Amino acid sequence: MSEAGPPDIIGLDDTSFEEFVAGSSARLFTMATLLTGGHRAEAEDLLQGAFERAYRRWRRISRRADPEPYVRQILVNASVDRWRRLRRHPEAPLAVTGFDPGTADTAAAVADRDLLLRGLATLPPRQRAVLVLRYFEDLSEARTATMLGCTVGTVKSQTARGLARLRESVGAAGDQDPGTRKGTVRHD
Amino acid sequence: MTDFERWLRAAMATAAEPPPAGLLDGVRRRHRRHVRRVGAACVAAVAAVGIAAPLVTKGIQAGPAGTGPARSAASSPPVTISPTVPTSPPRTAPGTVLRDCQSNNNGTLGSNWKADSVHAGPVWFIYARPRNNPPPGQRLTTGKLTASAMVIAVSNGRAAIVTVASAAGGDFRFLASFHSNGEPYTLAEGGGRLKLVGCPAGPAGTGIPASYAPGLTMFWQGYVTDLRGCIPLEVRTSPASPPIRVALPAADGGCGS
Repeated sequence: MSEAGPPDIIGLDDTSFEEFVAGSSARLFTMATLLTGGHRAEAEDLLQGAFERAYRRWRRISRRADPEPYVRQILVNASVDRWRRLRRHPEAPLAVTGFDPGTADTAAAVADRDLLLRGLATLPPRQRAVLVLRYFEDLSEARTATMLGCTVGTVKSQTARGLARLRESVGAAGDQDPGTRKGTVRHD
Repeated sequence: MTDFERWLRAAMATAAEPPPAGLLDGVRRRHRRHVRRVGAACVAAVAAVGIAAPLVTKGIQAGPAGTGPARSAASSPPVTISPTVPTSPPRTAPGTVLRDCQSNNNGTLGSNWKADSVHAGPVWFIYARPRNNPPPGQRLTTGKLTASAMVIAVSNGRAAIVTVASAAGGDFRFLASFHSNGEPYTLAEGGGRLKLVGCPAGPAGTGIPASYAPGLTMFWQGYVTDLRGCIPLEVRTSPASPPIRVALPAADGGCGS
């Protein structure tokens, strides 16, 4: 998917765009957070930029049945651009942040989230993006390859390497392999 | 799917957190910045052609480029002024720069240009709307001398006089022409008053897109100033009429922020 054609500069009071942002921002912000390895400020910047680019072409985009895939593509493209800028300035691992454990179930979910974000932050950006698209967005290998502009073979290899590295990272941080822990994440 | 992949999928699904507050406002701010950047680039490119056309028709020979005002330096075509041709348009009175139909720089704008422009009587300051309304009585501040340019338009068939507010009289000058020899601009040149005379009004055409700004005579107007933040200007349709006061962002863009 690419952004072709000149931008439509529309008025700034389009309510359909506001409704779209209200309905999709939670999920897209989560995706942006995962894509940036838990860097909230970067995720906010990424999401704001993606929405603004969508806003420029809103007249065209809003005619689609669901504009969200278009914005998702913009988000992935922007994260790719970000990783290219970061190639000379590698990210530092996510700092430990405190949290209120609340109930035991909440504590477990929060702990898993913390493990996940720390683990994702240690991955190279492309492996991170592949895992987010495959496991958060549930995209097929072919669709993931299209979004990232690479081959299916690359997606397969990046997935395998990313999973191995993430498993090693979260396994080292937690007391055991999270995949073998029981009752770690509730599915209410 | 392995247990770890199942864990990963579940952990990602529960990693949700609320989106940041003020997201829509942030998007709108970015969009305004984008429109300003695109607008300035488009108008500079169009005005570069517009500036070249009337000068070329007066028999000016092209030559090495001068530095010119900041916004036009990157896009103005190379021009030198023949010494036998006046370098500035005729003035109506000492200290007044005249822009009329003969020296207009018409071009096309973005389709929603009015939303980012300031309207004062028959005059439009195009793409000059400050980010926020500057507070009343905002103090004038000065800094480094800067030469720049603005896109200003007047309705066809109308005339207007634009002056800088008296409190800033010594800190702002409308330029009569652009330097072609790289000489820096000073507050001793140009004038403190700008007289705009639109092209004759004619019958309105049909189906003309808003981006062509129909019914307006447009000018690429240089100025030099050491004002920072806001530039207070006054627009009058006659010497006796009460002024319409506007505040435009200076080159540092700090007006109303």
